[in-house]
Amino acid sequence: MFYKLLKFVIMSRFSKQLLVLMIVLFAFSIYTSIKTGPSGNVFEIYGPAFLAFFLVLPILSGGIAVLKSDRDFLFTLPVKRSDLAVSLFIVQFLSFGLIIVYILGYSFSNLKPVFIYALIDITGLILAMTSLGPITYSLKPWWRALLALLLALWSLSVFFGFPLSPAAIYTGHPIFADVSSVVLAAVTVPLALRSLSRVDLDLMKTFTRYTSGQVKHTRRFSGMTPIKAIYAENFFTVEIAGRMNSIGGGGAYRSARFKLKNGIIVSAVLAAVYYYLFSITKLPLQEAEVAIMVLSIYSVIFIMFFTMGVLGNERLWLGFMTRDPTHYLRDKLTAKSLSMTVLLAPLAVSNFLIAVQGNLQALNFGLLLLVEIPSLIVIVVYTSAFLSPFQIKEDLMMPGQFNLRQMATLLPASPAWFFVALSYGFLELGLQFLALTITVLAAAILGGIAIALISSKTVGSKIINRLVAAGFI
Amino acid sequence: MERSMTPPSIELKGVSKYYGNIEALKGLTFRLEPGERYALLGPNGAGKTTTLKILVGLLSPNSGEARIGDFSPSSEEAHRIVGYLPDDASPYRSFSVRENLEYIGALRGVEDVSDKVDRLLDYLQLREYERSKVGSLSRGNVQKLALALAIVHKPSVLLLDEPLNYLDIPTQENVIDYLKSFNSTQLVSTHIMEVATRLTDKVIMISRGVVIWKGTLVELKKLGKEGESIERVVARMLTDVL
Repeated sequence: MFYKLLKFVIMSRFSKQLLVLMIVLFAFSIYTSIKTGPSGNVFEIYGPAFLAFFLVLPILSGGIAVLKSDRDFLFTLPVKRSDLAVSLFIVQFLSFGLIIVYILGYSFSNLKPVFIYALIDITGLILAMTSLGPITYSLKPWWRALLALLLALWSLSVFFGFPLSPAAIYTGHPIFADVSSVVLAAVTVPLALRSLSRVDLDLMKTFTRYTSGQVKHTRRFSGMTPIKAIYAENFFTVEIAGRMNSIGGGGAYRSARFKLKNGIIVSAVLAAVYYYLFSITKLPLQEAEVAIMVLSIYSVIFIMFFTMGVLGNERLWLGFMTRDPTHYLRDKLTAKSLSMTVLLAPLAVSNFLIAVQGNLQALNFGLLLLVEIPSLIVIVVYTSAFLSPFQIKEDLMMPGQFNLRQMATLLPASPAWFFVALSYGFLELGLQFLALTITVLAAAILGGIAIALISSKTVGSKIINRLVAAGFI
Repeated sequence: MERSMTPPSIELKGVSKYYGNIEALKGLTFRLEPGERYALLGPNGAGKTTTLKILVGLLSPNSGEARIGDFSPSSEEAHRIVGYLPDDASPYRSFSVRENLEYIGALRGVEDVSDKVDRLLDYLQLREYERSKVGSLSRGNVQKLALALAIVHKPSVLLLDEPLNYLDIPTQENVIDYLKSFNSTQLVSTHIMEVATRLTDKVIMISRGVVIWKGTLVELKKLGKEGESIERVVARMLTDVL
């Protein structure tokens, strides 16, 4: 019965296509790690930073992946609570395992001499990651934040030479790393299983709804003209959206909003840190690994998380019904794009300052941030509407709703990669004028495409028809 | 824009709509005179939702014509006077109840939005939830909010898809009274005869994208045999054409 239950829980979370894709990516990352040699010392920074992130993630997301259908059907079946708890735990373990190996698999090339130690370390960490959610879900937010901070600091302590940390596998202390992660797992796993077996089924619901259902400060739109209201919502307020733990088998959809002015403050602080790292401490922005990592962060964070909710959270029967729908779409996207330009401006300025000091790679990034990413947001939103639009109607979505076509909607972000890489290549060859031309041209082309898309009423109408046909309400 | 006291008519003339190879509407034709209240009845897949989407301008017909008074449904003028409630309506989930109402009110250019929102909150017993995010509301309260959003601008044409779904009985009665007092032309799509009889006095029955019957509820009742309920009559009529 347990195995049947486990199989059911696994199959209800992973679509077969997603499983196959993850296995292919997993095999690819391991294969490339084994085939290639150590990749410089970039993983000494990259590895502990990601491990810190992965230890913080389950504490912030809380609980364990529970779907609405679990609450409605699975939890009402006559199965042993302990079997159910173990099944949920195993699935979560597999989910986190896939993410970790997928993201950190490439770092195994540097860990080849200590491969067995690395496997033990990573396994212990995945067990701990899986356990932290169920243990901490009921803690008050500031306790969770404190615990997350402590674990992150523990992971990052290797930067200061502290060897007894799970991240020490990257700094030449494999035995200390194994001891740390195994002890962490030995403490957390029993607590997690105990929590999962004892918690009331109804409380599992709180696993998926841990944030307050109330807004702290109600935004007022009274007295605003329609265009002011659109800008108040789409320019002065920034929304980020994404699925928490989506690859991890969960279906919880999260979105968060913040005021643009607060975002600019954070952006300015990040810009100052960025300037310090790449200008004052001379971290090598021009090195390929560092450049690719910076570009990945820009592309993933700024494009994916800032575009997912633009149409997914929109309501055709509301905003679109208040005026000419194509005008509403145009005004909304213009406001979003401008908002992103302003939000990223401090980081762009940092890059321009670094560029003035002679690092032309920074000019690439400056224009990417100031022009290309705000333009790509429009392009990605339009492309996703045509390729595979989806509307977020519930907090919980079944896994597998993100299919390969939906992943392909991020492909329009690839020109930015291409142009930056091309420009980088010319810089490496010493062809600075050509590199600069490509950088400026890329910004002009992507900006031009975005403006053309936003201005076209015909394209706007087609988008809206596509959304209606896709079942948008 | 000064709004006319007489609500506009609603008209579909020979409207056809295809989804790929499937013909959802086949030359659908009907007209509602100003101020009339009709129920739109039909089995699943009859084309009711498509009809409403065409009338609010979200879909364009492949052939034929739809009009809201003198305007095309997709025109800005039509959008100003139409209130639309889709089936299983979902307002902006990350907004609070008040933010939803004020945002849509502002977009619609409603004057004194705040006062109007206050009145709607009290009328629909949503006051205690005004700061709650939609994602945290019960389904019934979401439906109340959706109704409020559809009527916040006092529309003179109302297109409602299952408006009483999920509502508790006191709220249903409130909503029925409120909608009946509205000076508007109303088309209410529903599967529930009780809803049709409480909210409207005339019926358009469609099946497979064509009108199969149109008339008053009294006439519909007369089509039944002695002692036969109106639900049975409708079921028989819809089954006969399937």
